[in-house]
Amino acid sequence: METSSAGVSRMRWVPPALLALIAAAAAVEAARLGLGEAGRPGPGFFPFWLAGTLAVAAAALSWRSRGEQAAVSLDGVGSSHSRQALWAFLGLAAYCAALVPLGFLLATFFFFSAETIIIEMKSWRTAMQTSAIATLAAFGLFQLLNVQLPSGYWMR
Amino acid sequence: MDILNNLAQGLTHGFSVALAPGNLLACFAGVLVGTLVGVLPGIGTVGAMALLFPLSYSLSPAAALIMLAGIYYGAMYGGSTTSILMNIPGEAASVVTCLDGHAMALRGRAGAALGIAAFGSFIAGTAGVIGITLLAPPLAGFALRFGPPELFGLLLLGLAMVSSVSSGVGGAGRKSVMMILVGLLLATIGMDPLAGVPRFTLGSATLADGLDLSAVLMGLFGVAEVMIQLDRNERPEVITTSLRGLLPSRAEWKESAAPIARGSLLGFFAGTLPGVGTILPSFLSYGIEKRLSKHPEQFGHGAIAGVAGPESANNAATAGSMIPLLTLGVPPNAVMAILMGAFLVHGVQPGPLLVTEHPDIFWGVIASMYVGNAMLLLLNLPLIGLWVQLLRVPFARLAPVILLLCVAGVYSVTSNIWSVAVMLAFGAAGYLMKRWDYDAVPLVLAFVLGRMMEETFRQSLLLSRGSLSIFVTRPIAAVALLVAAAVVITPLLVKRNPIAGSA
Repeated sequence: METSSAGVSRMRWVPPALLALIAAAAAVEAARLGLGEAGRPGPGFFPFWLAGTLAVAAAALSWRSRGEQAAVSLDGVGSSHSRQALWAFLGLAAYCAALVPLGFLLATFFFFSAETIIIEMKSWRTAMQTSAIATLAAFGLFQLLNVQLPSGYWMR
Repeated sequence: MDILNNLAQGLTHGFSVALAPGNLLACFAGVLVGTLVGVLPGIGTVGAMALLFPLSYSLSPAAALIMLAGIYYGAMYGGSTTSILMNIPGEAASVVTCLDGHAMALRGRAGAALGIAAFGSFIAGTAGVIGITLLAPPLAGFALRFGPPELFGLLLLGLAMVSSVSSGVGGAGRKSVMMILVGLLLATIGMDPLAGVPRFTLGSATLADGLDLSAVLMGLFGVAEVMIQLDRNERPEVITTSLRGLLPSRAEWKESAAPIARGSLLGFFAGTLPGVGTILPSFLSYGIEKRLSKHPEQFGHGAIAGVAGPESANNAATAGSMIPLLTLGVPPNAVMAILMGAFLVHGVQPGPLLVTEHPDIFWGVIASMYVGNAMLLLLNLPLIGLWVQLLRVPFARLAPVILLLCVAGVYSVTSNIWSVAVMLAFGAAGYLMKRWDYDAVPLVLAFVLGRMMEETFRQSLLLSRGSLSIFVTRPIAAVALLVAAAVVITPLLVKRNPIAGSA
């Protein structure tokens, strides 16, 4: 808890620095698109000024944030729970990757099983049982709402 | 007299739309989900609207907007429940309700606190809708005089106010301005609105139409919020309450009547201001009630006026915030920005022409708010026992379901797995933003308004043949820009001059 907060505090200059870099790249791309002229602003005009302003503002904030030890507003953030959140996110990413090839039913079943084990720390058996019920319930609900979902390569 | 006739005709037409079975069901679904979201701490109104946003694609425009509006004011009703029973605000606007609501619960008056919150919300919500009914049509008529420079000025003013009141810690104003710039920049992705040239698409067909609003919303408010909640991993204590004692005593009614009236008025007018939202009115109301009270020492220890005033104010503010959107086409907060997104998805442009071009939507939404407020009163009190049971469901069990809804929602809208990847990217970004204390609300608002801002700016320059003087020679635009500048500059001057700040 202490470590994570302190780590985040020490790195407060990072997000604005990243933003400044992205904005600078966007400004270059916007200039390439063409700024047009005063009476006829081109496609790059608006994003160029936005990105330029953002780059300057973010660079200034990053510079001011060096060594700043401000408190982080997230109460109760702990490293073990952060890992759990990260695993939950990776599980979601894997689910998204598997959704089209495996189809909604299979991918959702595996996703629910994995998330139940990761987040709720349940046994394999419990995870399988609850996931089967949850998957079928979700499938039924989406069918009812007429939501189009991928059926998977194996169904074609 | 003519105005009153038009109002009566409009409302009659509105009720015929709102009471149609499909729209009635949409309204019920909206207020039920809204209450549920308000009750369960975590996802929040914006998150809930983001989750149900894709569903609105398959509904008629009127039903979609009725449902989304229902979520908004339903969440305000539900937010007080967790504040009172758990000392955790289910909704940001209910933060202040924790102070006296939870204190009342600890003293065994949870029922009265919940009851007065529900009745106060109903009275204020209904008063707010009456306010919309009376003010929206004439304002829409006035707004017909607005051209591109005036609209640009108003949009800029809205964003300036959002930056000044956005939440955050330490340099929140600077961060908000940056988030607004990021949102505006993200809005430029896709085809250029005037020249038809692809911009920042990286050669991707998915990005050619711009970033999908549902993917952005679900990433920032769905996926990110789930990760944050898992981070926190809190399991708070729930105070149990019975249905008995939900009706406040005569003395409590007497003590709450004036705060409800004041909260309704304050909330409604404060809600119409861009950037104010529902949080500020509830805090203002609490401050006013404490100042006017004969027993200010009771505040923080279970004063019923400290529940009645703020809860009325935040519900009236939800109605008030509809006015800028319906009459000017300018969403004053993130929730209204999502509502505006729903309008645009259905090919309806909110603003001064809405009342004449789409009277069924304009009056249907307004009439549905009367119906919805009545539904909420009937729903809230009998279902408090159920909400208490729901509060005991661990978030870890809800998390996979919410994540699934995010994925299915985005995929159902776009039928494109890359849009889901965009949602994931925004989920990760939203999580990191939260960790580093960057508010996503200004970003979303700017993203929704970005395209309109660019169009009005460029149209203004085309009108003036390249002269920026058009923004200062047109009175409404000039005033809007002047106020926007004052809103941004004043806090900086106050910070630099502590003596002035303390005066």
